[in-house]
Amino acid sequence: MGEGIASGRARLSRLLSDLKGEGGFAFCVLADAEGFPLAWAPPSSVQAEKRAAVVALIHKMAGEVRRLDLGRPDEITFRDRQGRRLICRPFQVGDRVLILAVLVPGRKCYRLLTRRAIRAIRLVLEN
Amino acid sequence: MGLQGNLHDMSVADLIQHNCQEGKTARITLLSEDEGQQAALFIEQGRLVHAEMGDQRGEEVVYALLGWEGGTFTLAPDIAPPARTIERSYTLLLLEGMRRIDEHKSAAEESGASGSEGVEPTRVSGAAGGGAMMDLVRDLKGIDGVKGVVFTARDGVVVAHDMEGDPEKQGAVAVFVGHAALQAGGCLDLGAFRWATVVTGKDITLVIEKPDYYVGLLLSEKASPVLVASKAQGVLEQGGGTEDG
Repeated sequence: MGEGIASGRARLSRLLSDLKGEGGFAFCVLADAEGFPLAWAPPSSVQAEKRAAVVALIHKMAGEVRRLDLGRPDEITFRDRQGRRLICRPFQVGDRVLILAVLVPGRKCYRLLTRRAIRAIRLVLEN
Repeated sequence: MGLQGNLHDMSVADLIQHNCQEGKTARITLLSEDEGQQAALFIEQGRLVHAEMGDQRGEEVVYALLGWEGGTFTLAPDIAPPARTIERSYTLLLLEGMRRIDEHKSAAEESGASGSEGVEPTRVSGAAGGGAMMDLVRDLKGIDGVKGVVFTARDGVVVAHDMEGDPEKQGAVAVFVGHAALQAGGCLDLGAFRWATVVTGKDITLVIEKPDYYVGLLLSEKASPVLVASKAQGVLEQGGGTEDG
């Protein structure tokens, strides 16, 4: 792995770790459209792979919606009976579609934090 | 010395998951018990990179193997893959494989007992549906912030609706979202799925799962999905649903 990529990954990991702490989220994962995790918090790689795969599955579902000419989903939310919300936000960096997903417990706010995180992720990946 | 075993004791999914999680490099040779088919999976440093069976190569082989319920396997460690035909992560392959198996089973069940139980769909004719379901549609449409309502059976057939535009498309969204929510919930140890939303520009689609169908509600831009979901659950429970939460 090149030094630039390694330092980029480290920056993304730090960014997600900060996002998790600031938002009080149960987890954060940044995945590509094929289900590979690029960065995650907390640092369990097995869990990250599983989460990234699920996020990619959700992204695939978003692709089906787009094919129906209903536009491209900006955000997909699942809420369970305990009130936890899995938020998936697809976004584009160059030609690449990535998805930031966070698990939000209870009534915590996430929109501003995830929007800021996506901006920061773009900066890391474009530089 | 390779490890040998029976697929009744360790499924193909378990074999893949175990070896990938352990970061192994190995070849897994599989032999089906009924048709005498042979297949091979190649794992390299914890990534499933190649699969072959007869003339077939790649992901489709994995999906076919996940459906095997019997047979034997032999695991040979440290064998390098002869080719690279798989791009996706193993977890995504397993999820997709499980989805295909579920779909296949549902289709088989439906063809075995067509129209015998579940929701008896009243096929849509214009903005319509039938009987009690149309009462529910009307009540849901009366909730503040709801612009349109569609009831969709799990196979994607629109059962009843009241919305402008294309109810078939909104019904399809409800089914896509509902299926994805169920899979995501199961894989991430979330509790049972209560509702989901898809935000597309200014449009918000709220999807609620019921035992026999999905309800898709098209919301106005300023509607609160939380409030609407809560009211809609109330309407659906009063309307004879079997909500358990």
